[in-house]
Amino acid sequence: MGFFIENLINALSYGAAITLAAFSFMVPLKATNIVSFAQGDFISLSAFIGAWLITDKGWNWSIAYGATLVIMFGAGVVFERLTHGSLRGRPVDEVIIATLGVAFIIRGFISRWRGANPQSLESPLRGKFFTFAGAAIPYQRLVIIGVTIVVTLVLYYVFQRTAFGLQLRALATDPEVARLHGVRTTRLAIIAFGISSFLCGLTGLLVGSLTSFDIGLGFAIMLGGFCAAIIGGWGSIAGAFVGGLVLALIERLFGAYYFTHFREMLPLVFLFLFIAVRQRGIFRGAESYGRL
Amino acid sequence: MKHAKRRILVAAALAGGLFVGSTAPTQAAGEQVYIITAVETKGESAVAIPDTADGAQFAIDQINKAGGVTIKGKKTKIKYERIPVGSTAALAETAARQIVDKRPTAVYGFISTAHNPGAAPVMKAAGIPTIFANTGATLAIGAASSVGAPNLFRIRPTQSALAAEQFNFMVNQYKKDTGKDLTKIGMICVQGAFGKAGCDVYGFLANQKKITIVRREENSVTATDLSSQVTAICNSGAEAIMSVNFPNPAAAFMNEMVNRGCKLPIVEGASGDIAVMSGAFTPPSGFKLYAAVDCHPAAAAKGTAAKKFADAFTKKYGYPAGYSAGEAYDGMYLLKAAIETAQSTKSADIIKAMKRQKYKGVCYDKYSPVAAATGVTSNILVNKSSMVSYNGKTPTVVSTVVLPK
Repeated sequence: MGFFIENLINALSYGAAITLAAFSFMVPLKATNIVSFAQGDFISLSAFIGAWLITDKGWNWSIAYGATLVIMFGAGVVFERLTHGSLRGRPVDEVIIATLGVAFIIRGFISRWRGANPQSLESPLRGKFFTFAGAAIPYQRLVIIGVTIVVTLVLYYVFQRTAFGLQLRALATDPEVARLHGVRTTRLAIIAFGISSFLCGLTGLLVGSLTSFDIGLGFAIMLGGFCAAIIGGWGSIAGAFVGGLVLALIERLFGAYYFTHFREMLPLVFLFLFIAVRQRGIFRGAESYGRL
Repeated sequence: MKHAKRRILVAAALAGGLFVGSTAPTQAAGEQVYIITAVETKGESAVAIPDTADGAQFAIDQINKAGGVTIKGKKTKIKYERIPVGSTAALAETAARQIVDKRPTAVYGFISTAHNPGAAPVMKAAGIPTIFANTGATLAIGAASSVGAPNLFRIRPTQSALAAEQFNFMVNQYKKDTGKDLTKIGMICVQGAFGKAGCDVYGFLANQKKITIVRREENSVTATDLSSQVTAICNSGAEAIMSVNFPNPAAAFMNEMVNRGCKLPIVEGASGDIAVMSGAFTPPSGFKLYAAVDCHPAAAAKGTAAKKFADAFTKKYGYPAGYSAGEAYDGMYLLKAAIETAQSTKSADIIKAMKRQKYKGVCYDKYSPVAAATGVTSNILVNKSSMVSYNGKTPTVVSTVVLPK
């Protein structure tokens, strides 16, 4: 029983992390129809900034976490100006390639700045756990699950109920019509990229502080997030949540008992099989937000 | 006309002067000591660390400050250059060709076993004395699929030799700590040739000693979440963990063990030491991590050359001197010793002198090629490896072994 519960918590927390990453794709996608390939490196960047503020600058962890999230929002704004903003009117493909370019720049910067050695990001919950039915459950993993649930609900509310969310969706559906109706498209795009980067920051801080990390931290999470978004239905908040959960349960729970040495391949195998059967994902209604 | 003639004469004299000037170093090249290191440093790739480059530079600065290398009574400062090498055999081959074009006196570097298939044949053909700072078994002359040659030296012990030492150490240490024989182990192996080779040695020895492998887990090189692997091993009934991993997955694995109160003793290679010394993992009280490293200058006794080096290095570069910094430092002094023993900068003389030099290093008290009766390992330098335990971040050498045996 203990083994099952531990693996279940592992799966749920991993699923939560990749769901957050999927959300970070989703927000700019809804605003601009752009898929950003820099998200993984933004996740890594936030963990490195947090570690630098705490370890090198001696900041209290809570202040450092807050400052990191603010910096990440700002980085998202700059990112939008460099890619989507400066390439306005260019084909979507070019903007997507530009996001890949930014990813390489971030990677090079981190490598130059902090090097390749593993890093540690302080967390007040590091090393703390409780036992339940023979299972050791780290508090930090529960925090990741809890934060993701809250973020999901907030995003769902924002996109379904607020003027900001509705404007974002209108922008993704038809930018020209949205503009004619008075939607301030540039400002919305900037905010969307800022929020996206903020979500990357949140993911980096939550996952980076679990154990240790290096420059590759964000890449695997980004891949997971990408798969989760595809399974859920490209552009769907609820779909990303369910997609992340399904993938994590397959890899971390099913993979704990069956095909253990191929655990990391299981989600990809499932993804191929799934899209062969249901190409537009679990929540098909979301496809209008992502025409690529 | 007179002026034109004068101009032609002046131009000819200048051109002649330039020609003499440009050829002068070539003429004197026989006496110039030119060492190249084939290593990356921080920022040049996602996996590059500065230790080797800094260790070599530190030694070169010291040597040149003291006047340089003494050949036939004359002191010559070392001309030094670093050529970055990527992570693949193809990139290593390109770097090796670039190095050979520069005709250095000697070369140090190629820190990854992946470099050997690309770099070794090029350096072998050039005949330049080259110290490889990786653990590749194929560098030994006569080994299976050997790329070795008399001018190619290897400063590090093979991974399989180290893995065997790690395994035997854990068996003895477990008995010492608990009074019981080790009967069940769990293994965590990084995917790829490095992890497979190390874990295969563990598996072979476990089979010999009738120790059951209750769980063998794997992780990718870039893994940062090893919760599934920790859950599997810590719930498997294993009494100890044998690990072959890269620094960040090793740190992530041990942090995850702490996160869920798993206190099984764990043996790791140099990655375990890097995890602790970089601050990515701090063993809490009662956590038994043993790391096998070629040497550990920072853990050396006070007053020793190794400790003095470690302190001066940290003061200069702001981080602890790991084994690769110590070995690179030794590598530069080793080449200096060989050149001074040879009293020549000719490759053939230096290669012969490598077997006679008496350098006492910070990583080992004497580097000398193994004089095996068969000559199979005659280009392999004797090294000493240490098993290190940790009290928080403070390392302590608990045992040492000279390799190859």
